[in-house]
Parts: sequence; C-alpha cells; structure tokens
Amino acid sequence: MTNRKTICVIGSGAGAGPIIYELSKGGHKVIVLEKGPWLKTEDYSKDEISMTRRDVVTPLLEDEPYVIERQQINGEWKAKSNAIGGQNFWNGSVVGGSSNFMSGYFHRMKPVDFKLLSAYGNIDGANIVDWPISYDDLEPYYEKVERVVGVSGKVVKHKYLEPRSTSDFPYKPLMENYVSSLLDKAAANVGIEMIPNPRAILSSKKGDRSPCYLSNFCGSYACSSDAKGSSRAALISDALKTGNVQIIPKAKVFHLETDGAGKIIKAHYHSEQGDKFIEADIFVVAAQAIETSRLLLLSKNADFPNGLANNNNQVGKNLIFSAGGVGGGIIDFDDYSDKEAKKLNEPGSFVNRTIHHFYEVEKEGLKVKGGVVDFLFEHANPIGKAIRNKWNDDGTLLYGKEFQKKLKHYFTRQRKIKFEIFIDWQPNDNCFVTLDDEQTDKWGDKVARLRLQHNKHDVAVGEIMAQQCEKILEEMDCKDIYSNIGTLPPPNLQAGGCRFGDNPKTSVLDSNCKAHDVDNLYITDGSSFPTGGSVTYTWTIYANSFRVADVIIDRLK
Amino acid sequence: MNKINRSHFIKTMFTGAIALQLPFVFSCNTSNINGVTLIIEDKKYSINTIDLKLILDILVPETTVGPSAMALKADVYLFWLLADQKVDLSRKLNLATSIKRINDFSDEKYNSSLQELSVSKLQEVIKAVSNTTWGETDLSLLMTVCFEAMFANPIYNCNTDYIGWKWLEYTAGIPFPSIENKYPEIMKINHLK
Repeated sequence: MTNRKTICVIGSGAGAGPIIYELSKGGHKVIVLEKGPWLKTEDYSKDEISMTRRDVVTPLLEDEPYVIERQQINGEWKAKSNAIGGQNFWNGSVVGGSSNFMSGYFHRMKPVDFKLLSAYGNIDGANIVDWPISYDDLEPYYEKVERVVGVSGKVVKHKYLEPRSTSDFPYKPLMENYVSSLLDKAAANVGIEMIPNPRAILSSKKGDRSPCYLSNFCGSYACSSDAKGSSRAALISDALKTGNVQIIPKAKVFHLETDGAGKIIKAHYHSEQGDKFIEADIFVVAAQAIETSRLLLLSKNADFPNGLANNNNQVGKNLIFSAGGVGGGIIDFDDYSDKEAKKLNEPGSFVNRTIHHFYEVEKEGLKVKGGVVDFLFEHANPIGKAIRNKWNDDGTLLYGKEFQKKLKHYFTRQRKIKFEIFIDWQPNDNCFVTLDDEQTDKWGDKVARLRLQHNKHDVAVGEIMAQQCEKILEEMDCKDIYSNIGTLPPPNLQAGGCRFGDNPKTSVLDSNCKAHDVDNLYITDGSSFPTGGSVTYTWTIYANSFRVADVIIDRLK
Repeated sequence: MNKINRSHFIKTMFTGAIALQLPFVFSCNTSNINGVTLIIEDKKYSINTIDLKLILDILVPETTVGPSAMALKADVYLFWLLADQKVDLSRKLNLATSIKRINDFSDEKYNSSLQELSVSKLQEVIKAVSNTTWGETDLSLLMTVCFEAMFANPIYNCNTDYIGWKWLEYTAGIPFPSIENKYPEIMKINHLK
C-alpha cells in the first residue's frame, strides 16, 4: 500500500486488540508497547499457586502502588498508599492484558444506556451525561465482536432484548449444568424471567482456536484451548500473521512527547535495557482506565501544562466502576437424589443464566435504571474455598477435627450457587484520578492517586435487585442464602477518566475517541465511557475499539 | 525430646537468591531439623520446627476425617513461602514470628513451653491463643499455609501423592503446571516474538 503509516498502541488488552487487528490487516505497521511480559497459551496452566496466590501477572504493590483517598465518617478525606497492603487495582500486566483472565460473561449495553440523562434525568450527586454516540452506531460492532472474537449462547426474546442485526449468536451455547434447569424453574415460579447468558467462549473450533474443554477454571486463569476470547488469543494472534505487528513486552510507557503543535511524536518507555522511545504517526492508548489517565497526566509539557489533552482539566475526572454486589446460597445434596447430586457436582459445565428482568426497577415510586444479574457456581479454586471455611458462624476460628469435618462436607456434599449484580456506578465529583505528589513507582514516576466514592442510590438499587434474586434461591430450597451490595469499587471493572463528548470543555475525547486537543491521540479502552451501563464492560470496549479502528483506517486512506 | 542441633539460613532478599535456596528447602527433611533461621529485610527470625509441628498438628491433625498438616508437608511449604519475594511482607513477618509468639504465650500463661505440655494442655493453650486478637491472626495465617499445601500441585513438594485432592474428591484443572511454567519459573518467561 502507498500510504502505510505507523501506529503505536500502548497496552494490549481488550481496548487495544481490535486496533492491532484491524490496522495490521489494513497494511499499517503496528507497534505494541505492553507493560508486562509476553506469555503464550502454552505458558499458562491451571495452577492456583501461580495464578491466584502469587499474582504473577500483576506487579508487586510495593513496586507500583497507588495512593487511595477514602472519605472518613467525619467527612474528611484520608489518603493511604496501598504499597504495604490495600486494594489492588492491577488486573493483568501481560500481553493480552486482563482479557486473558476474564470469565467472559458478555452483555451488550442497551439503547437506553447511551442516553441515561435523557431517559431518567440526573441523580443527586451524580454527573450523568448522554453518550455522544447511540446504540445504533455501535450495533454493527457488537455483531462484529460476536463473529470475530467469538460469542456463544442463544438469543431469546425478552422485554429488554436489545435490537440485533442477526437472529442469534454465531456459536451455540456451552454445555450447561443441571442447575441451569433448576434456576429456570425456580425463577419462573417466582415470576422472574431467567435467560441464557452469552459468553465470550467458543463452543466450536474457530481457526487455530479450539473449543472450550470445560476446564472448570475460567475466571482468573488464561485459557489453554484459546476458546476464551482474550485480546491475545482472538485478535493479536491473527494480527501477528500479517507480519505488520511488532510487540515490545516489558515496555512501560511513561511519557508521550508532543511537537509543540498538538501532535505526539514519541512514546517514551522504560525497559530492562533502559529508557527508549518509539516514533509513530498515530498513538492509541488503551492501558485500562486508571493507567490511561495517569499516562496523560504524566505527559506534561509547555503545550499541555496540566497533562496531555488536559487543558480543560477533564483528564481523570468521572472515573467509574461497575456497582453492585454478590449473593448466593448452598445447594445441599441431601435434598437431591444421588443421580441429581452427581449432576449438580459435575465440574466444568456452565450455569450460564442471567436476568435482565430488572433493567428498570421501581424505587420510591419512580422508575429507575436497574441492571443485570449473572448466576454462576462458586469459583472452583479450593484454597479460596478452604479459607472461607475456617471461620465458625460466630466469627471465631475453626480448626482441628471439626474443621476437617466441615471442609469434607463442603467439598463433597453441597455446592454454592452465586449471583453477581451489575448496576451503573454513578460518575461523581469524588471519584477521579490525579497524580500523587510524593509517592513514586519503582521507576521514579508519580503514581496514580485515586479518590473513590460511590453513590448511595446505587446501593439502594442493588438491594432491590438482591432481594428478588434471593427469592429464586429460596424457591430452590437453598440454604444459608445471603447477599451483599458493596460500596467498594471492583478493580477489574474500571472505566471513565477520559470522557468522550461533543464539548471540549467537558470532555477529553471527541465522539471518535480522538483527543480534542491532540491530533493523533486516540483512547480505546473504557476511559471514554461517560457512564458504564449496568453490564460488564468488555464487550462494549471491544465493540467501540473496532469502531475507532474503522475511523483511523478511514483517516489514513 | 530432640534438642536444637543446627540451624539453616534463608535470606529472602532477592529473587535470584530465592531461586537458589528453594531446592535447598525442598531437600530438607524437616523431621531432622529443629530450628530454621530466616533473614527477612536484614532481620533474623528463628522458627523452632518442633514447636511448629506441635501447632500444626492441632490446627490440621491426623484424624479419621482427613490428613494432617505434616502429611501435607505444610511445614516445608511454609519455609518455601517465607523465602518468596512475591509474598506480602506483612504476611511473611507475621508467619515468621508467630511460632515464637505462641510459645512465649505458653511460657507466660502456663509456665511451660509448648514442647513440655501434654496433648490436652497443648489443646488448651492453642484455644487460649485463638481467643486473643493476635493469636487468632497467627493461627489463621498458619491455617492458610496448610490450605495452600493441601491444594497445591505436588510439583511444589507438598500435597504428596495428591492426598489433599483425594481426601476432598477434588478435580484439579488441566493442564497442570510443569517444571518450566510453575511458580516462580513462569515469571522468567517472556517471548520476544
């Protein structure tokens, strides 16, 4: 091609993968700067020690901490470094990012999620705005993700089913556990519509990727058959075949240098061989929301004294997460025949049930936005299960023979069914990213300082939904039913910080996710999202990144 | 009663040093070692392995219900964990000082070291320890070590012959870790193309 350009992509997760895939297939040279190492499918195993007990895919907090501000009871904000313990916001510093370790519960956002302010009005204490694009703009890309990344499941009609350009998912549902039929029946009995849950997991072969082999270890683990639609397995592997992609692992970008005329010319990064830089025509940042805002704030210069693309002080503002909580109950095998118990205890098969029935709920007599609920079995990690069992009901430590009896029963005579509630996290003035003036990381760069605050509205909505979900488990005669709507942000579900919008004074990016102030900077992780929808973000991040890839390709023609 | 006859030193300062020391820890037959001294952040911590065994035998004993912590090689696993750079420092320091702290409690409250107590008295001391805030934390951390030893792949020199997995009818995920990609070897992997 005659107009071959160089694209520098910072990050390699879900926001980066579609850019790498499309631009390389379009004949452009793509250089990927990934903070972590490059591990391939054969390097991963289902080893609980390495993957969940030692955090080999995330940095040590003492090397790369954050400073976290939380509001005290007296109203004051108290800042504390998490260097010696605290909430960890790193999710996967390897090629493919945290998409390697997702569970792949996939939901599209619905049309109303793109215009929450217009549909429901603002909520006290929240900064809700409509998206600058609509569901219709993104629908073709949701469909593309189904096809290219691979989504399995079955579309069933229901009240909140989003408009689709195809009738069904391209891959059939994964093998389901017996419990799925029990959930369907119990939900129907209490008047709640339970539907199949699509997953970003292949149920049949796709190119070099093999179908799911029911390993029973999906979330927190990389997939050993490449059935899971990680950015690495689903997109980067194919992109590498073009010969147009260069991946530079262990490259931590710390500064984007501009030319004095609003254009980036170099991405500077730390490597094991010292500091280096890459020159490119277009720069795409997809380092996950917090790190993306941090990089822009670190990239100060005379043109951008407050940080790159931050002349209107919007970078880092309106950081959002996914609000919600969890609940569950115990399925006691004594309540079932041996044959049923055996089916319920079968490892590997999926629950794959979800409720969209609560996408709008009534709160204090008003219709308000609700969310979705995914049902799943307790994670199979045995060490985690044992840890949760070492406590008596009164909170005292259980040990010795009585503990052994409890553990034996827990592992062999019951199974825990859980539900996870996802609702909007209201963007607000006290949830943002800045740089800390004192704490630095192991390279000497200022670390992110997070102020975190939830909105009580979200907790109230979550509790309404949790009460309904508990009814389903009661109908199933589950024991020890519980639910808990949290106020802490889930670190793996982060977005916002670089809103896209039409007004440069109130947004960092334009509707195509290009920085208003920087001609060749695009941001394609979840940072652009003004609101997050009440679903996990990955499908929308993939879809939006495919959309922006088309914009960049058109621009480079 | 065995007397402390020798000590070993494990310095947990650098990843390279740890890698060299891990085979050494695994080669130990801890039944013949009465004391292990560790250096963490330039401070020495001694762990009496007989005291450790006594405590672990109370927490996860050999019973008709299940295998003991010692059968799972939780003691060997503990030393490996203490030598590990990636383990949270506060967790390591708590574990490294816990055995002495529990023995000191026994000395102070029961005028007797752990090794001099009868089995029933030992049970009583551990119960009393668990009723203190610090003691509950110490014992809880030690139990978590036992769980890791119980469920880790035997490639980590614990859970010998899969006794933990067999006991709980647990089906582990496939593929298992190999010599090349188990921890900490996996951290050295980095493909360049």
